[in-house]
Amino acid sequence: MEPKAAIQEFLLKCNGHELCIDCIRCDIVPAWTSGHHILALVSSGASIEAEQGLFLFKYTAEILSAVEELSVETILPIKGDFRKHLVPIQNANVPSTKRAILQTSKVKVEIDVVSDSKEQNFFSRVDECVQANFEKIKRGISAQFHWIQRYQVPMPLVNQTRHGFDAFGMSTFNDFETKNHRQTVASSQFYPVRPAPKPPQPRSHSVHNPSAIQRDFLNPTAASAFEGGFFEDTYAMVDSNYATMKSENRLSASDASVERNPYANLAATPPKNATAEEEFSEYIHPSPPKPRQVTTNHPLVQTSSSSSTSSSSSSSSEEDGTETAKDALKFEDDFYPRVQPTKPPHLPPRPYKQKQTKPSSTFYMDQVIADGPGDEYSEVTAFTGSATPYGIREEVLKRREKDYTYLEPFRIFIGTWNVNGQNAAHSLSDWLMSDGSPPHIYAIGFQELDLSKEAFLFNDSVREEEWRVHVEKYLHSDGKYTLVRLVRLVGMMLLVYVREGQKRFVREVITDTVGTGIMGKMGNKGGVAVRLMFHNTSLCFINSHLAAHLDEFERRNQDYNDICQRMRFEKDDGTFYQIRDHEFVIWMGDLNYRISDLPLEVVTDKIEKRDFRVLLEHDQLNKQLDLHKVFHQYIEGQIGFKPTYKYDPGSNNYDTSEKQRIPAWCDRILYLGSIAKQLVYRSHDTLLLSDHKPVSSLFEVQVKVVDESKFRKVIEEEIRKVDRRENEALPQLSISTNEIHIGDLHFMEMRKFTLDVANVGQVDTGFSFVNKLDEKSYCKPWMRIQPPKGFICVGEFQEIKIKIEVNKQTACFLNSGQDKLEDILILRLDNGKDYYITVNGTYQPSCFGASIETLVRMVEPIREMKIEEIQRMVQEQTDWSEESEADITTEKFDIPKEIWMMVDFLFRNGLETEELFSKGGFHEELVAIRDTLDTGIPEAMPGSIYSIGEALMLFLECLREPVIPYEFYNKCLEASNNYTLCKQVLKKLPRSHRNVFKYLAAFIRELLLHNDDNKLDQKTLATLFGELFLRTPPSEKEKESQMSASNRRTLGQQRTRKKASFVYQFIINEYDE
Amino acid sequence: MAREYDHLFKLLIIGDSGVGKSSLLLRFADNTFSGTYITTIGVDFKIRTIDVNGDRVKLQIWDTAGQERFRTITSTYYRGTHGVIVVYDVTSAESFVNVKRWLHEIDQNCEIVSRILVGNKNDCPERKMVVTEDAKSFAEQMGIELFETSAKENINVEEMFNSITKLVLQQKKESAAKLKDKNDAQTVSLNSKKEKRKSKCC
Repeated sequence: MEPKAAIQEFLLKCNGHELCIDCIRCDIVPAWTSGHHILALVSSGASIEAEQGLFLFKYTAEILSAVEELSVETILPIKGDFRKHLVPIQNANVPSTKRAILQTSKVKVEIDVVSDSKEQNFFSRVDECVQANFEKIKRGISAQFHWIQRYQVPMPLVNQTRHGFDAFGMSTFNDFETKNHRQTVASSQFYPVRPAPKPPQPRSHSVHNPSAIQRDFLNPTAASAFEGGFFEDTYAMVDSNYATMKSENRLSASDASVERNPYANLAATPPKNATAEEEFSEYIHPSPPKPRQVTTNHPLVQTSSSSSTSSSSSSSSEEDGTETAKDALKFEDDFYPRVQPTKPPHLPPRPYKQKQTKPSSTFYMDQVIADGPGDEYSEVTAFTGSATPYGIREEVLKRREKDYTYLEPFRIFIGTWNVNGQNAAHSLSDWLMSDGSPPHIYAIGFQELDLSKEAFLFNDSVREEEWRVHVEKYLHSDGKYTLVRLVRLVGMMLLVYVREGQKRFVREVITDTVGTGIMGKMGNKGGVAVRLMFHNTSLCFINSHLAAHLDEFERRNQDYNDICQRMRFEKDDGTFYQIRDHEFVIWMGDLNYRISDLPLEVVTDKIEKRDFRVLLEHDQLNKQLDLHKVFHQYIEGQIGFKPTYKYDPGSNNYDTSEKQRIPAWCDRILYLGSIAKQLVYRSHDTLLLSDHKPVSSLFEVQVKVVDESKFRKVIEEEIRKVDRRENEALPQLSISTNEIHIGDLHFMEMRKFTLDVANVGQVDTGFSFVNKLDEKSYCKPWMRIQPPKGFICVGEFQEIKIKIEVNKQTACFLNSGQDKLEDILILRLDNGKDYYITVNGTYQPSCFGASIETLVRMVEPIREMKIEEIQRMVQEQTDWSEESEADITTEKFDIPKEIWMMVDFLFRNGLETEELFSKGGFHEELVAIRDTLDTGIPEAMPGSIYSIGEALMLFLECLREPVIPYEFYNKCLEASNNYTLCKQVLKKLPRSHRNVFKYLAAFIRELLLHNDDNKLDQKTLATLFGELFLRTPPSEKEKESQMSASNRRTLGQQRTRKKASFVYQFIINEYDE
Repeated sequence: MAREYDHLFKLLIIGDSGVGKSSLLLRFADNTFSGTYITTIGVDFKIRTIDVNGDRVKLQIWDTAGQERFRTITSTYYRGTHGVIVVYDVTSAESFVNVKRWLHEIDQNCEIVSRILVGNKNDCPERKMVVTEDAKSFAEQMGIELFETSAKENINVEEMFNSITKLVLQQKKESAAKLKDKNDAQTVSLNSKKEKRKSKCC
């Protein structure tokens, strides 16, 4: 059956005028529950302004074949607080799946949807609806969603009670938990904001169709069994799961930011809604959705799994944090491994009975409806709310509260009345309008507002609206009031109103209800409460109806304790306030404490004489207060009014019925907190409607009012503080110097410098020298830095060694002026802060690293010449291919005089020396030789034969262009086997180079003539000079570097052989032009 | 904790050596001033969060070395910069003349960037060399806003930084709007597709 058609039919059957706009099928993670779901977007009516809701249907059979198989699992109204996002699930097999997380402030649903175009289409439609509703809220047309009431889940409750639970619901409690764990998990995905247990509500109950109430429903046993066992458990589950989900959020920051931040931000943004909307839509289209790794980041779950087995959630009263946490963990135990189905285990459809165990959705809907009008108010406030500055911790602001608030007295009227189920009638002005000036806040509590079974079982009451309207007629006529919130549980209703002018100072309105009635859970007794922030002061109003009957004062104490413990005002972030977290608490209601141990006659007599002293001594509440059994630290004003119970309705006479009840002060107002002064405490005898008299009190409360400009200033200061701390936390170094002066530097001369780098900041930091733009290294090749990076702790320092030496690789660039002895080092810290260290010096030109062409032009030693002259000479680059006569004339020598000087020395002194060229010289001697060659002083060559031999080799190595210029390199290698070819190549060489070659070749031949003495041989010399004459060009080296190691080696060997062979040709043949 | 900021912008302060770039930063970020001149050899930054019409903007302000010899290196810091503050010294005509070169440098290194011209050391009329009118007309000609400040006396510093931040913010919003227009166009096409789908479905 086509799902859409089925849903449409279902909706029609439920007597609705709704329209299924779109739907998709989806699977709830199979491990959580089996069964198939349909997510549908349902619109109320067809108009454009229609409200839309998301319905999650479930069909019981394997394939949806009839409408009857369809049931509503949960409903989410798409309103201002609606959030949605999709998380692609990793590891999921084909077809790929996304987890859709749909959430209002009351309900959260997580479902897995097969991602396809249908899904995309569906969710973009949902996005549209969200935006439309958001627009409505912005314009003040807030959605109501009453129509959703029609679709509350028709639960076959009777079946449920009969299976798995005894009448009192307690004994099978644990059993349930173990057996049905898996199923509960699914239901706990929908978490309400801790709803008080309320009687479930079948669809048929609704106003539209009151006749269809199932008889079984009225069976109190069934109902109470329901209350006693199952629901408590479900709630425990729900809560714990919620807690877990929250902690999960905290564990993964990125996750949290996706999930909550944009929305939180939205709520905090002042009404310039353009941006708010932007961010909202950003929320709606998370782009790109960060993968939510549900499975990986759960250290909490993993580590604690072993310890959690012992925890039991059977004790319903234990609601403290640890217990909840344990529950959560236990919960996770079974839960987690299944969240990540690589392949969804296919579970068989559950037996019918088990399928019924999903009543929870009713409650959420209840919750949504019960909070109806107030909800929108809070939403609107959330958008315009001003007092949520971001960037600063709430705690910090709280600590500085005194700096930006001042105290201002406000009057709060408290009224409580047990109306005995009566219809709203007669004037209330004697009660609500008894003071001269209008109070700023009204908190009015009713008990026994509705004694009907419907109210009791389904928490549905027509009286609610009736009394609200009635009350509003009699609020002080000198003030205009707005309803802040209405909260009701069965017959207990609390209305909070605020003067219109003060409306914008009310925020964080949260309600909760606690039932302590039948089985300790039902709403016939208990409390309802509203907490709120008024300006900067937190207020909490509790309206309660405690256990009845003269002797039951201990039950009343217990009810009080239960309410205290179970009342939780849950915040959006999952944490909650309890009653005592507020600066001012008002507790009103029919507390039902009686006057005991006095005979009726005495009581009546004392009342007539208005002598309340003895009566008050016998008042149970007073006694219990004295014993610290109840209302610890609460204060009650002096009672100066007659007992408010029990009157014959319509009169001022105490109970004349058979029962002859002893009058009592059942209706009381107590308060907690030192910021208030009670102005009056009274009852109102003129109201005759009920068997109780209304009681009221007026308080003057010193409220902390925010001084906007001071507040801004404080925020400003706090932000500056945070900024300052951040600035101080930036790493900071002190460097001994920013400039390294090398001074004059010669070839082959080593200079060492030390940089002392100290961490003078407040954090440890790493540092490193970084490359300048477009440079391959962090420093010039003639410099080495050790260490180039490191880590310094606070207060410590490190030495950085800098070595500078110009060697054969770098000399020619400096000699030619292509490079200078200058550099800027960038020392970068972890966060990007940079320190520069400049390095500079003057390089003393040397014949080492010069070119043959330059040297043959120089008559004087290189150091005698001006730098500019040298550079000019260098720049007069000889064009070898077209050697002209002019060039020849500028050349003063055939070969560089430096070569002649060295070779001549060797020729005269070293021809017979062994180990010439293989035994190294001394550094000092090399330096002396360098200076002699560069300066011409002293005239005679200093140093040993070995040193001069090394100097000659070094000289040849350093030449800017080798003896055989690079461009002839390949030709030479090619010709190396053929003397004629070699000669041809040699002919093409520049004259000065050719001369050097010829000269050195002759020298080699001369050396070989003395090989008896010097032990040199042709091969050795050919190889040695082959490398010197035919230096591998840089371009070839680059090619080599890209080769594999073995290829490189082979090629190198070949080349060495060819080079040697080339030189060899000229050793064995005397070359002559 | 709520979000720390709505926007994070990187600002760069450039200008000749000794015009007071570091002093401006120090005044703005730490509200301090040091009379002793320490030339910046390197690049430093500080942060400050300010409120611009309800938007909380976190500024990361980079102070560069003004010396000529570092010019090639400092040009690398333009990357990712949202706003550039060009500073000259009102008591130094030369530093004002060089503003043109600095502006040129911005053009070479940035595509879209907000700029502002700042004449610092405006606290000693006797020594003032760059007349406000000249600077103003130059700024107008270049299409930049001019601020005359004194880091020493804390004159106009706050205003100047606020102004450049506003410019950057405005620029961001404009480009975001452009982007949105683009996206909207896509949405429309998607919608039309959806309409078809719907008719088929029902």
